[in-house]
Amino acid sequence: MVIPTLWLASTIIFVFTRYLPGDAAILMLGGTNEPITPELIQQLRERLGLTRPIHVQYLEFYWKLLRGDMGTSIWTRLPVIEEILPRVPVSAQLIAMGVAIGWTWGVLVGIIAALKQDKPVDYIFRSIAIGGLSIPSFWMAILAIVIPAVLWSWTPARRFEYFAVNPSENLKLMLIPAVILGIHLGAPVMRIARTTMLEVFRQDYIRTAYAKGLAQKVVVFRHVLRNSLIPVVTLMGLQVIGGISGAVILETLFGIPGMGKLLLQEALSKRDYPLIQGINLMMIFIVVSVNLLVDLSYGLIDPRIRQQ
Amino acid sequence: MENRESLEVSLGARRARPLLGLPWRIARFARNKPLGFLGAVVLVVALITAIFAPQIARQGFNKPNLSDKLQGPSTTYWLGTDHLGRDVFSRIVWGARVSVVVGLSVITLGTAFSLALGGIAGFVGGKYDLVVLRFVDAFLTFPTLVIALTLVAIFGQSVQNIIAVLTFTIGVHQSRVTRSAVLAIKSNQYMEAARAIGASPVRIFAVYVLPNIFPIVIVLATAALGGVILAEASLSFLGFGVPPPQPTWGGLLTGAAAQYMISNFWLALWPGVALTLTVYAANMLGDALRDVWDPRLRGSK
Repeated sequence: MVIPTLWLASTIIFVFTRYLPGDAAILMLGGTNEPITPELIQQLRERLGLTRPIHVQYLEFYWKLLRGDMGTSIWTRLPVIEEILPRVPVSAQLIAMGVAIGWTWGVLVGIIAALKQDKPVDYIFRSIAIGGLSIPSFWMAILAIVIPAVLWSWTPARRFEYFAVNPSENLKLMLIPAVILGIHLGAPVMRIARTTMLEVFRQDYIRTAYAKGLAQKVVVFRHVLRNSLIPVVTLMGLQVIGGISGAVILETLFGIPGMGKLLLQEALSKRDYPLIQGINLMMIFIVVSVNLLVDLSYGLIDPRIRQQ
Repeated sequence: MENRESLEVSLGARRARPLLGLPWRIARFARNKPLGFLGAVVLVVALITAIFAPQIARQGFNKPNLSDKLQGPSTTYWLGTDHLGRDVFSRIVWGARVSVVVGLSVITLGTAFSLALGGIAGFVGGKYDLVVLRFVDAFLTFPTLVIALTLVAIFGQSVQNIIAVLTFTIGVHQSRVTRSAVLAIKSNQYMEAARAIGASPVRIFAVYVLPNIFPIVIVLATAALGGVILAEASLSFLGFGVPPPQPTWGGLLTGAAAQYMISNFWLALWPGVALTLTVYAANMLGDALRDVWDPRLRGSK
């Protein structure tokens, strides 16, 4: 499943990015102060290997990709993979923090809402969850910058420290964007957690657990929670996909040098198509890997799956 | 899009309901789902604002008035003015147009596209279904915003291209649910009966399949509306949306205006409020419709 998905997804990206080159050639020439002639564009296209038949380009694309070669950036002339790799841990950290925060509030609020089903608390929490889905993360980010500035003349710093260099400062700087990401990512977790908890509550073994006199706390945490986790874990893949989209916006706004900022400020705005292609490929590679890990983790959580 | 999983599970058979007058049904919906009804009201207000923008907006959306720049809210400028002295209220009213036009067209076209892709794949089955499913699964690994940004960067910034890009993205995402809806319908006996009396596949699809998956499709479309409006706003905010001078809710929060937000807080506040309120209303309505039309959740009450 992993290989065909990766192959198809990278093919889609290959097809899409083949539309770019004309643009890129003109943009590149635009920077050289020379008059743009059709001959110049043709020369450039030849140099970039865009005049060869499409199937040759396609095979070469995979031949290089399998060796970790994603081409070279049109602007910086550096190998794309070298541009991307240092950015991956930064984005991964932001997304991981966002997912952790989202899961914490999502699962907790989901449990409470399920326990108080159809009571006011349930309605309020569900409305809050839909709110978390609805507030644009860029607006939350703007408010997080503007409100403290208006009230206390203080703004979150727009600088960055690497975790390896200065862990405490790094966490402090990442906290606000991670919380904003978490507000967004926790909403679907809360809804799924609530729904599955309600389902598990109706199972016979829960009635048995209550019947043998276990305290509610024990039933909820040992019996219900563990069995409601699977659909929530399934959500992980979607969470990472959503987290990447959120990271593009938040990295740009908070000046975090991750893949999202690279995509927006270096690749897309300069039409650097090998870089756009490389970042897209790296992102789907991460998503597919996470999905694989999720599939493998089912066995750990659910003994019924392990036995099959 | 988050609703996909739960929707997919819940595609059961549905019983025929007694036909009721539309006003009665709306009244019942308002009583049972007050928040969902409120969402519908807010969406209607947004729609009216978009249609009658020229009448509602008090000033031209792009009329600079440098002597009145960065003013606070007043009777002339209800929500204040920006750094060029343009009326923020009028710009928000005109911005509703982009959100509504993009939102509605993407939802309509995207749903049609998902029917053509997933609906037919589920109906035809076999190898075609498998190929479509693999393609859709591969596409689902793309982060929505990233692929939308990439496609807009490739094909160029215009209202039509943004609608096309989002239609494609949303359509592919929804086609999975549309496909499972068709699969659930396919095993019904009336499908067999239709085949037995010699109805052609085209007729079966149009007369027996489409009407039966209609409620699911409506719920799906409503649930996706908020996400589409949000996606358009995000694109505009990042500078890959509908190009200026057309004001957009996302675009109002970015660019030169951003430099004045700390001293003029309303510049950051109102476009975001308009956007969040509309998306929240759409999500509330989608949630309520899903509850009403979702047999599994109905049973749990």
